[in-house]
Amino acid sequence: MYISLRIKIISLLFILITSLALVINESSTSLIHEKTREIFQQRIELLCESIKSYWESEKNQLLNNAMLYAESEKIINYSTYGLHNLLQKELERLIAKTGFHELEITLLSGQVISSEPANNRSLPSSDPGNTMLNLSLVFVKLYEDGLYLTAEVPVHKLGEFIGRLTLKRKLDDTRLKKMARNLQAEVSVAIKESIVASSLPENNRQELNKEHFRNSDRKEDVFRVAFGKSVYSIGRVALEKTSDGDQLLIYLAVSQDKMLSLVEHARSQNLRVTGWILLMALLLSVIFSEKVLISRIRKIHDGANIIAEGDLGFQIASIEGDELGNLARSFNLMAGSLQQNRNRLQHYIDRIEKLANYIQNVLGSLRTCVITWNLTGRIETANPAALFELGEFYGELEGLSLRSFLKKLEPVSRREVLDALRQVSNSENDRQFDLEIDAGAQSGTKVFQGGFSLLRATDKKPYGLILTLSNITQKKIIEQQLYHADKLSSIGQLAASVAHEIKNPLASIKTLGQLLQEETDATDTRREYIDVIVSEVDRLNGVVEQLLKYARPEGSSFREVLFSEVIKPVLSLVHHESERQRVVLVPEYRPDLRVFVDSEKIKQVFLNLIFNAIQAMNEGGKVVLRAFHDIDSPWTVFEVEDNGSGIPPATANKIFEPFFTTKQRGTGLGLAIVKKIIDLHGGKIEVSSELGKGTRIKFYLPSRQKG
Amino acid sequence: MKRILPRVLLLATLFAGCFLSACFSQSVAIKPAVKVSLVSRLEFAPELLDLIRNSLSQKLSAPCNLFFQPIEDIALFSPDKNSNLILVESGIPGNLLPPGFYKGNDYLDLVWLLSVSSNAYTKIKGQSLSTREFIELLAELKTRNPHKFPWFEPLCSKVTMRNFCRLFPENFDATSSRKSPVKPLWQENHAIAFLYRAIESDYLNPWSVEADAAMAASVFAAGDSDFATCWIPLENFLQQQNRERKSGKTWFIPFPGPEGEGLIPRIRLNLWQRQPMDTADRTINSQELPIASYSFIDLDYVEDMDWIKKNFSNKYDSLIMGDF
Repeated sequence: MYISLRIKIISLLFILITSLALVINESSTSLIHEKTREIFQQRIELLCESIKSYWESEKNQLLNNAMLYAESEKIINYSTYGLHNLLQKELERLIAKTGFHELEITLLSGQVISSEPANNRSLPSSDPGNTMLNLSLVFVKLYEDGLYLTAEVPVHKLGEFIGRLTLKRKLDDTRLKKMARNLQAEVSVAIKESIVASSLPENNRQELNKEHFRNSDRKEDVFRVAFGKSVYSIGRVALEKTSDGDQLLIYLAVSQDKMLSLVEHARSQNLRVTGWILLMALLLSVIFSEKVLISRIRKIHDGANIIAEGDLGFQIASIEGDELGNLARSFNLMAGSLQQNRNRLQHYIDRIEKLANYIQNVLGSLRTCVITWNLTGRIETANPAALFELGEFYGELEGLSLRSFLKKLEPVSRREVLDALRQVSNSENDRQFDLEIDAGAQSGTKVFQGGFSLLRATDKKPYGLILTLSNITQKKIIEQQLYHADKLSSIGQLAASVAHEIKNPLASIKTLGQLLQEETDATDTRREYIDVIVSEVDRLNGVVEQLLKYARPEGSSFREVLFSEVIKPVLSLVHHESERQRVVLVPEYRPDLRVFVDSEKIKQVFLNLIFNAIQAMNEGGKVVLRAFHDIDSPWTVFEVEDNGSGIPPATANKIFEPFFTTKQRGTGLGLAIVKKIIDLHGGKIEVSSELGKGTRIKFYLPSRQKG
Repeated sequence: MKRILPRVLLLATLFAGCFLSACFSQSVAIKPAVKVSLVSRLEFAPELLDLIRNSLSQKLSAPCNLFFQPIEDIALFSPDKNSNLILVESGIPGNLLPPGFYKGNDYLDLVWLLSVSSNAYTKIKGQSLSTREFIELLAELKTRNPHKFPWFEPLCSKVTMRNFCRLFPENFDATSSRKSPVKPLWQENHAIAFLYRAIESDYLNPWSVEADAAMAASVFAAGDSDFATCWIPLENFLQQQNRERKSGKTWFIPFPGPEGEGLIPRIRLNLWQRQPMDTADRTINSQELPIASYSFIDLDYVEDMDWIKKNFSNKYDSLIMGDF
């Protein structure tokens, strides 16, 4: 998977910074935690010390207030002058909204006037001589309805004791909540086995009550208690004993929730700050990597692309003295080396190309087919001669397997090739063989002489096979023609000598036959036999004449004539025969066509060919006669085309041989004479025929060269 | 007299309506509250001011806010521009009043009566008391509640002291010399002795000698005394006679005389205003007041102030020292 360098670097930076930040965050949070706990411990201890002072100040405040009320002129006067209702109202007024629970005066008469009207009562009158009445007291007392801090002070009018004023403050939940607010700690008061008042919520109070109940020693202590999900640091302080002698314990509870939430807040704050720092670091990384790293790497990358596109002269500018600078320097060195190597390589390539071209030209110029197979048995190369000679037969040569190459050959040729291959692979000696392929209707049969050689690599190991094929078709044809001509020449000479020997007896026979005719009456029955003898002798004489004409070395009289002067007498001669055979003669030539021929001999050629064509059409037909100059060649082309029965392929190559005929009364010399006349003109003749469709005889005669 | 009274009342009503609406419109135009200066030697306890405010508000028949400014010494009176009305005690010379004020035809009578608590009312059943009956009742109440003084008086009040000193001789002389221009001054010490003996007998709260009218009113209102004298508008006193006493309501009776119901000291507060009026005198109350059944002592400002100036200290000392 492709991951950009920038992402890798940024990811690495991010992971590093994140790890560092988390470690710092955790360690700082732990430190905060530890320090906060320490501070908490100190705070609880301080609170435990403070509560004593606070308690004293609470008592002093109560006592001071009681003394202040005891000095109130109205209270004194109302008490003195029996204005109890006013006194009560004044007591109510005085402690209204002060937080004190009750203010009452016990008069000497025993009358108790309280701010709580229900508590007004009469007690036995006091003894004014009792000096205890002049004492001021502050004490704690547990009543049925709760715990009270009570201050008692004497009330005097003009120095005379008139009663005692009692100021009570109930240490209830409300008061303790106020204390809690002042102390910033939850305050609970316990007497005996239970918590009598607390600023804590009810469920927490019950938990504390259980803790108080479990802890029997009642010593001062600092401990931790979990109230539900909240953890409290608790400080226990023994304050004083109540008026009934019970120990008064104060529990100071400070919730660690706030601390924990502060720590959590600090942690989250740290995380947030860390997050911001990370974000900033990320942004800076992006900018830094872009400015310092990526842009320079991109320069190198672009340079590499430029070099890849071929500009090896490219050099990276503004190289700085760091690793990327070194990389850029190396890159420039590499580019320089590449340039040198490229030049050298180009030189070699040029040479190789020249050599390859040379070889290609050699191979292309060769008339010999050169085909190479690699070790996989596929044709790797084939020179133009091979493509030309074998292209029509094999189609696409390149990639053709040896098997396919062999498969298409005739069995005889295939065997020859296989033998040669075997020999090459065994003895490593080349073996020549002849290969004949049918290259199609246009090219005909081609004959090649070839041989296999092993293709070796530089290390002399076999790399493949080389097949060389030379087209020897013409050579073979010439050899055949020479052989044929030689054979015809022998036949002609033989026939001429035979004909010469035959001619004299035939003349004797004819003369004697004519004598017999003259001597025999026309009505004589023998006369018919004599006539047959004479006519047959004439026919034999004609054959002999033709034979002598074929074998006789005749002189030629070439001259340029209009073709029409040649062909028209021929057409007149065959006119009756063509009509009789219901054959239409169609001459196609330009009237001004001039040919350079021996006109008498060419008339003989056309005469023989037209007669052959007419005789090939038993039920009538058409014979087309064409003559024209082939502009691209030095030949004048003549054609005689019929739509007769055609020539069987087996006999097609024998029709020009002397005495070869398919007719009952033919001499087999007509087309042989045609061939001889054409040869005499230096031309060539071709036959193309298709059974049932017709035959076309096409012969070429040299046009007269100008100049 | 009975024929004329409805017409007078009708005219008074019409006039008062015009006057008060004029005042009200003025007050509304200037300030939504009406400031009333009270020029009198009386100590106006809050309760008395409330009664006067009620009477005056009923007369103004408009939701005016009345602010009272009691002024004991007329020489110190300097009304500001917001003072539209002045209630001036009858007898104060008009030349002592600031210029720009004119005496109107409206007035308000205040009477000095003995307040009776509901506790004591059950004993007297609304009847007037003689001095003896009063003493006996005080003794009975004291016996019932030894820690309580049944009677409280604002004896620090000069006017109260003057009233006692004026009332006792007048009551004793009521039958023989009511109309005599010479007052039997030699009998004033009876009042002091009466008060002193009452204190000594724990009937009268000894703190009375340090109490003013407001204090006395507070003590009585708190239920710490069953009797206390006070000033109330005459109409309030007369109206109580026409209705059943309701629970918790204070009952007022004339201070006891030797033979029963005594005389009732009375002062008149005349209404002065910034615009002159030219109609017949009338009370601020439009109701017909059944005053014929009571005997009043119309206190004279000049005479009383002269007495206070000359005799109050001596009388007060006598009360404290018991030297009469």
